Amino acid sequence: MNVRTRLMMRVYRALLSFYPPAFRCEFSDEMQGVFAAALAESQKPVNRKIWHLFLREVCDWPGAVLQEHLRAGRRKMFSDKLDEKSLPRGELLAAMLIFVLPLLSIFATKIISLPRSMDFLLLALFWSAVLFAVGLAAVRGVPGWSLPYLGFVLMLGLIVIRYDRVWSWIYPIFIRLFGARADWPVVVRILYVGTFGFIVLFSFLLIALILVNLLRLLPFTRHIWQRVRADWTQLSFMLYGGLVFGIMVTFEEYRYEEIWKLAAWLCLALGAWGYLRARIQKRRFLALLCGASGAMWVITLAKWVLIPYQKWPAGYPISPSIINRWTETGGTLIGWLCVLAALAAPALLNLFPAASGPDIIEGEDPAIV
Amino acid sequence: MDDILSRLPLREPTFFILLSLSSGPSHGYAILKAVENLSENRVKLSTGTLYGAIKRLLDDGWICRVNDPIPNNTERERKSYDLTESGRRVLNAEIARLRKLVRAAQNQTAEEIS
Repeated sequence: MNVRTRLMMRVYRALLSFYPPAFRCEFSDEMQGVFAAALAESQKPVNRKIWHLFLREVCDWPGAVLQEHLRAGRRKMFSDKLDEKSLPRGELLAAMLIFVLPLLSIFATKIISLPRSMDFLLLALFWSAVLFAVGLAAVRGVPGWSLPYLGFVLMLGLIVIRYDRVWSWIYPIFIRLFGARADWPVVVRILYVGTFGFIVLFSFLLIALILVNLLRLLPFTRHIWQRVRADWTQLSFMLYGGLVFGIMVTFEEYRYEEIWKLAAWLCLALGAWGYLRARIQKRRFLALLCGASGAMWVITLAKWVLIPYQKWPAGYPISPSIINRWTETGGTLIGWLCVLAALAAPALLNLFPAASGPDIIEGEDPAIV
Repeated sequence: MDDILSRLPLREPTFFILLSLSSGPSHGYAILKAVENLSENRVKLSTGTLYGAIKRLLDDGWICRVNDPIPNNTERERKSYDLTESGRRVLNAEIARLRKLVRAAQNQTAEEIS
C-alpha cells in the first residue's frame, strides 16, 4: 500500500465516523475491506481509475450518511409491534366514549332536534363519564383508556386557569414590537393567535411530562412511567383527549357552528379508533396525526366560512371583518402545526433512560393498559 | 403476495443486488463488481450506497448473512450474504413485472411496424 492509498484509506475511515453508531458497528469493518479491495483493483490497469473510485465514494458519502441517520432516527422514534393482544372491548368503548358523547349530543339536539331534556341528559352523561374516568384512573393506576379523559381535564384546567394570563403575557410583547393593535397587519395578527396556541399546547405537554416524570420517583406509580416510556404515543393520546375540549372552546360565541363541530369531533373519534386498534407504534401515531389534522382542517374551513355570518356584540375582541377572517383562519392553521409538533414531542421521552424497576404487570398490554 | 407487490418496483441498485445474489451467496466486494457487470457498468455503487442497501435488505428479511464460502486470506473477517426465500420471491416478482413491460413494449412496436 503506497502513501496515496494509505491517505485515501485514512480519509475513508474519517468519513465512516459520520455514520450512525449502530450502522458503523455493523458494517464499518466490512466497508473498509471492500474499499481497500476496490482501491487495490483500481490501481491495476490504469492508475487514474483510483481517483474515480475515491471521488465516487466522497460524492456519495453525504447522501448515504444522511439516509442512514434518517433511518436510524425513524427506528429510534418508533418501536416495532407493541403487543399481539387486542384491547378488551370494554376498555375500547370506555376510551371511545369521550370522543363519541359530544358527537351524540350535537347529533341528538341539533341535527335530529330531540327535546332539550335529551341535550341535558347527554351533557350530564358526558361530565359523569369524565368524572368517573378520572376517579377510576386515580384508583386503578391510570389505565390507558383513561388517558384522553385526563387530557381533557388537564386542558380544561389549563385553559380555565391560564387563558387570561397567557393573553396578558403576550399582548404587551406584541404591542411593544408592532405598535397599537389596530395597526397590526394580518401576518402579525395570525402570529399573535398562533403564539397563544403554541403556549397552551406546549404548557400542556410540559405539565404532562413533569407529572409522568414525578410518577417515576414513587414506587407505587412507577409502572405508569414504565408504560409511557415503553410507548410514548400514550402521552400523545392524552394530549389528543385535550383536543375534545379545545374544539368546544374554539367555537365559543359562534353561530351555525354545530355541523362543523360534529365533523371535527368525528375526525377526532376516527383517529382515536385508529389509535386504539393499531398494534404498531407508527400506525398509532399516524392515526392521531390524521385525526387531529382532519379536525383542525375542519375548524380552519369552518372559521373561514362562518365568520361573515357572525353577529358578535360591540366590545367583543374580534369582529366579523375580512381581516379577522384571515386572522382566525391563519391562526388555526398555525394551531394545527403546533398540534402536530405537540403530538410528536413525547418522542423525546426516548432520550430518557429506559424504564427500570419491577416489570410491567403480566398480562397487561404495555401500550394500552 | 400482495405484500410483495406493494414493494415493487424495486430501485435499480436493489434489483441488481438481489440479482447478483440469485446465483448463490456472495460477499460485499463481489456484489459490488457483480452489480457493475450485470448493469454493463451503468450502475456503479459506492460502498455507502451498497451497505445502506444491504442493511435495508437485511432488515426486510430479503437477504441474510452466511459463512463466507470462499477462503479469505485478508486480516478482516469477510461476511457473505445470500437471498432468503422472501427475497427470491420479490426478485421473481420484479422479473415477472419487467417481462410484462417488455412484452407490452414489443407488442406495441410490432403493431406500429405492421
